[in-house]
Amino acid sequence: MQLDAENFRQACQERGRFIETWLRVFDREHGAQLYREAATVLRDWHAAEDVVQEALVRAWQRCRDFRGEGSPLAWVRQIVRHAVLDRLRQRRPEVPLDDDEGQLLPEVEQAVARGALENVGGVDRHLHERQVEQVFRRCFDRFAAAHPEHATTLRWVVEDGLDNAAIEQLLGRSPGATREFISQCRKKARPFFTDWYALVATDR
Amino acid sequence: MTPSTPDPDDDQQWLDLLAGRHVAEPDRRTAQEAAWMRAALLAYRGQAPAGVPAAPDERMARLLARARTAGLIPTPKAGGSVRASRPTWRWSIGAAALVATLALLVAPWALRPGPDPDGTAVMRGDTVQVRRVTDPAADRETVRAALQAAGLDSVPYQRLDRLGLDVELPPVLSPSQRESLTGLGLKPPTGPSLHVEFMAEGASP
Repeated sequence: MQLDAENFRQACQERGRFIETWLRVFDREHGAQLYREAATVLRDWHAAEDVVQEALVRAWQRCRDFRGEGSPLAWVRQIVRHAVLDRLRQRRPEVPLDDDEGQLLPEVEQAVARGALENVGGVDRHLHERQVEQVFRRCFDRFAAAHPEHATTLRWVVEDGLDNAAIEQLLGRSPGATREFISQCRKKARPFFTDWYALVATDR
Repeated sequence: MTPSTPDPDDDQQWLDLLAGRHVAEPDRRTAQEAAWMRAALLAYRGQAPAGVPAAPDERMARLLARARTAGLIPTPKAGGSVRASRPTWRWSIGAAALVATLALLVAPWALRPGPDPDGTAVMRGDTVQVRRVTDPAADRETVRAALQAAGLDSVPYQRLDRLGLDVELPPVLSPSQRESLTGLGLKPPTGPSLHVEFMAEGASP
């Protein structure tokens, strides 16, 4: 069975066994990746399963909303991601940790500017790269703990190339509110990545 | 240097660059900031939490139960399967006999060793592939490093004295990732997961 728009619409119309078949094929072909993505964001396999399954059921309850303009897989995935972000919002309010002015420290900004001009160098590259990775992961984890919705969206922007329209749909926000959210993503991220920027800059 | 003040246009450029889209003449520092962040997020993919995900069949059973509760799919009727099976049991026996006969005919061809680029890999389907090597532990590290270099994260595991790697795969493998897998004697799988297991040469499976 192909998980294409035609089969999706048919399953939506016929329901019953058609939906069951669709769910089975979907789980076999895409389940592992979807649950893993949710677990990576939520840091909990059980919560991930709960959110993903709840979203899948909700997607089929409103399957007539699918307009068939794109892939039903993308449509379902967006509903799942929306649910993951909802769960993140329910978990805790956002509490800024630092001054949160969204500015790079002057010395880091200088390093960023310098790095834009110079080539990469370094003596023990392998060791340095491992250190850079560790620091980045620590910075990102702190950012995600303080601003989970922003951090998760940022990761999905990079991994899937989300544009403004996709972010609007994902977050359920107006175009203006989405632009503000994007600015906030950058502003909120900066203080958390200061250590990493500094470390990367030393290699430049 | 005075910290720059983010403005909406600059933030939009930053987002587009992060997403990998072309931006005409971006601010140099914005481009650098976005390039570093993009490179890092692509290189250091999110790691799954500790613990083990549910087995697919258990997970599926729970999903179907939810779908039934929501009224999306019918609840199986008591005794329904018995009634349904009565008219077809003779067909079932016939089909089983046919499958067994075909299996006997096909087995000699199916059991022949397949092509193996470096003489180490044995396929057990797309998702579990076995490498027979002299030093499984060392080979696992070598393979893990090679996969990591290709941007594929993997998690080592040990099951019944057999060493393995649980490889995370992106939705679509890049040509270089496919090439890396092939170079390791591994068949690029069609699904989202790949387990590579390492056995000492001469060990029984």
